[in-house]
Amino acid sequence: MLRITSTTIDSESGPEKATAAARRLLKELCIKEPEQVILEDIAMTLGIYVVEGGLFGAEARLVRGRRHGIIRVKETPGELGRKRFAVAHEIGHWVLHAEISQLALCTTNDLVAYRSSAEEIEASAFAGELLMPSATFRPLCKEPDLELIRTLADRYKVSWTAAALRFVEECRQECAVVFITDGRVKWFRAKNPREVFIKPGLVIRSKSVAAASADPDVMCPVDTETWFPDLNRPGLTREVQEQSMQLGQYGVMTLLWVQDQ
Amino acid sequence: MAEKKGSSLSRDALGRVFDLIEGSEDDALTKPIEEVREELQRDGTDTTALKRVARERLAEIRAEAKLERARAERQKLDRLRETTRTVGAEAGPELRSRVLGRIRGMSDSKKEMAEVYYRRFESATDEDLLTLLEDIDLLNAADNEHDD
Repeated sequence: MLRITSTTIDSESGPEKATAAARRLLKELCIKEPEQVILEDIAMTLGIYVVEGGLFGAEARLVRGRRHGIIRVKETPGELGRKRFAVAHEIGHWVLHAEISQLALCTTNDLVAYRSSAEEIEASAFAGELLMPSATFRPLCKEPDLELIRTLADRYKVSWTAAALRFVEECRQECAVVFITDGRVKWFRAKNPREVFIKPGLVIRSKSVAAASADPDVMCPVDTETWFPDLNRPGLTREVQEQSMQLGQYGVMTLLWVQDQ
Repeated sequence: MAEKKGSSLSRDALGRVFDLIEGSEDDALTKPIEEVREELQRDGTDTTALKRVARERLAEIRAEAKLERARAERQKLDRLRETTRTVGAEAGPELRSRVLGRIRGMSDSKKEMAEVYYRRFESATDEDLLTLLEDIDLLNAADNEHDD
């Protein structure tokens, strides 16, 4: 994101504060069901007008005036989820970063919190909670499964990537989502990154499901070393299951499920 | 606004309150609150639960009104956007300086920051700058209209 920075970030800032702010907004507007999350209306209650199209160099742009703001979002035909996340992310900037951003211009990488700044991570945490509130989303996060993630993405009108990232955060199971382009890990997100870590840039191994061209319907067991050479320790043996799917032109998304044996 | 599941009991309780009010409007307005509470309790109404339900319903009514105002405001801005758009600029060598001028205007007290921001925008396409100009003009018009 490009922005004018005029003050330091609030010492209480962070994803938790962002999530709490999104919850307050949902509560204030008595929004309880996914179909009530009409972003254009929600944004306008805050004084923000949402416009689509006329933007080519970024996913979304926020311009802050004295009383009103404008979120302009890139036109992405057939990708409603992506557009909704971009708008929710900018609403996050409006709510959380009033003192530091008069204008914000967010790229795709800003939105997925891939190598992002603290403010981008906060805005994405806000968007995640606004679009997929924990209260209703968490109970639906059963065993890791890409089909379930697709169903959640449809229900909450978000992209598969956004649903997968939220799933990893909310699911009680130890799981991770990995995004792969050109045979390399572009980014990954794990519930517990200290335990389960994959280095961005890693060349994926031929034994992984992600390397195969087929999209399996179910989780498949893979050798632990395929993804985590150092995961097993004396006295602790873990099993890894993997499921992958091609995300159009963007790359491959892989879901990993780590269980103690 | 979605109706909450299992709220039929609460609706019954609210119904009894409305009966009480409709029965004698003046009474309901002038009766001391304690008396109303006692009357409801005699009628088997849990006043604590009733208060919670009434608060929730009030919050829903307020939220719906807020969203309704937002939808109306949005329509107003749709119309205003059509007006400001006609004033819009065309792509050309003057475009970037016009955008810089507008950004400066937005950030009166932060001119140096506006310039920093603009420098970062040097790689932006003419199309993006045109809509940025349009957005800034619309914001100014909306804020001015609000002031009037």
